[in-house]
Amino acid sequence: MAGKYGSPDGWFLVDGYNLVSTKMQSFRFKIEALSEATTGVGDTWDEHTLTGLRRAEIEQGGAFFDTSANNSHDAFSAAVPATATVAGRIACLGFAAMTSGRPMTGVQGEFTTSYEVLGQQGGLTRANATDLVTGILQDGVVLHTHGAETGTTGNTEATSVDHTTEDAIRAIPITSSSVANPTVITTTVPHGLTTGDSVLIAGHSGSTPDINGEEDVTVTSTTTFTVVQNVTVGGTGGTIVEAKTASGGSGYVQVTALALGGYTSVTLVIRDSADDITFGDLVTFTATTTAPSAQRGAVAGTVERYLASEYTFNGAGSSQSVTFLAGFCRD
Amino acid sequence: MSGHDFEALVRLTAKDGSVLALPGDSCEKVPEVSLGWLAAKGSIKKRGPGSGPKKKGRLTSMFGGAPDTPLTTPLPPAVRDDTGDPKRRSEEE
Repeated sequence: MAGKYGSPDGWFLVDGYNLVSTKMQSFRFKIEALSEATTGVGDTWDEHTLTGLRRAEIEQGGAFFDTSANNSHDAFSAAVPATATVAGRIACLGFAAMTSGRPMTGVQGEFTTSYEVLGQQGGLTRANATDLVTGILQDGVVLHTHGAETGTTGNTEATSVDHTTEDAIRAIPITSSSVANPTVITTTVPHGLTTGDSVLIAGHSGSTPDINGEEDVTVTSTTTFTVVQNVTVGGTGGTIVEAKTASGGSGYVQVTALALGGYTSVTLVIRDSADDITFGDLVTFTATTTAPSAQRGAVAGTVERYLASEYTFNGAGSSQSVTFLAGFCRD
Repeated sequence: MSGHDFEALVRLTAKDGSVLALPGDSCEKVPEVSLGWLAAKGSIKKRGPGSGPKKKGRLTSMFGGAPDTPLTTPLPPAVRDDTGDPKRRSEEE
């Protein structure tokens, strides 16, 4: 994550509940790789072996105990599962300010496993909750800041999020481009790309032809890939950043308030574009009729460089309003 | 490459939010610069031969008469002639 962020920047939404409004004092998520002690006779050092499983945990602490609608007690007290077959919750959280293009974390399969209320002499009553994640925890980007929309339809395409300029995007230094067709680009550190991704090359000098710009990649090793360019004079330096991605991803929406005003529902959509000119539907969520509510929608295949969100009220009515957050996490 | 040659498989819009094509529509309003990546992604597909613009509404008489009655009764099934000899078939009848 680029930069440092303080507590005013944090936000946390679970199943359409906005937990920032509950004045929570802290929140965290933790990912750990599970391991097993494998120390035996003859070993002089404690030994651990990874089991191949990861575990994620989310915790919100110190929120004020509040039984008013859509506050922490509402969000957590009834969410501790009473049966083994209950569906997991959907959460979105961020440590950077919630603005379009800033990082967020999306979670599906979150189970509230403990909820405690702490009364104290001379102090306000507080409530804590801990959730375990069985499912998906993904890093992504905010597309629609949590806020109200009152039109019949609208979108963020005019302020689309360019993956190459996202706050959390990594610029990977280039060592060289080879004299070859297709040219082989070598990076100084593992590039983390997948064949079918595209990259934006910038600042690369000396090559003929100039290969700066967006190029589709074919991965040949962890630090090399080819792009479809016949390079006759090799170049050096510059950086690459990921542009489009080939492995799908998941869209998230959190609807914290909804006034249909006669409309039957509101449909939220995440859209993508390769050129920031024409946008196509990428994830269409099930039409929403109630709040608080949340949805996650997964897609496979290519996710283009530019992302935007859209809302549309269905039917007819007046005085409509939907308050929501939308984000997308690339796989 | 022309948008007429393609059919949208998803809803496509311009940056101002205006709808360029709905699923099944021709992509004539889609900027040519976007057709390549939309086809590569599978958001549009090449139209088959003879799949020109669809005409809406009922057919009317070629000679300016009253509109033709819409065809609601299915045609009778074709009679199969195993011999392939039309002459023999008419003789049997």
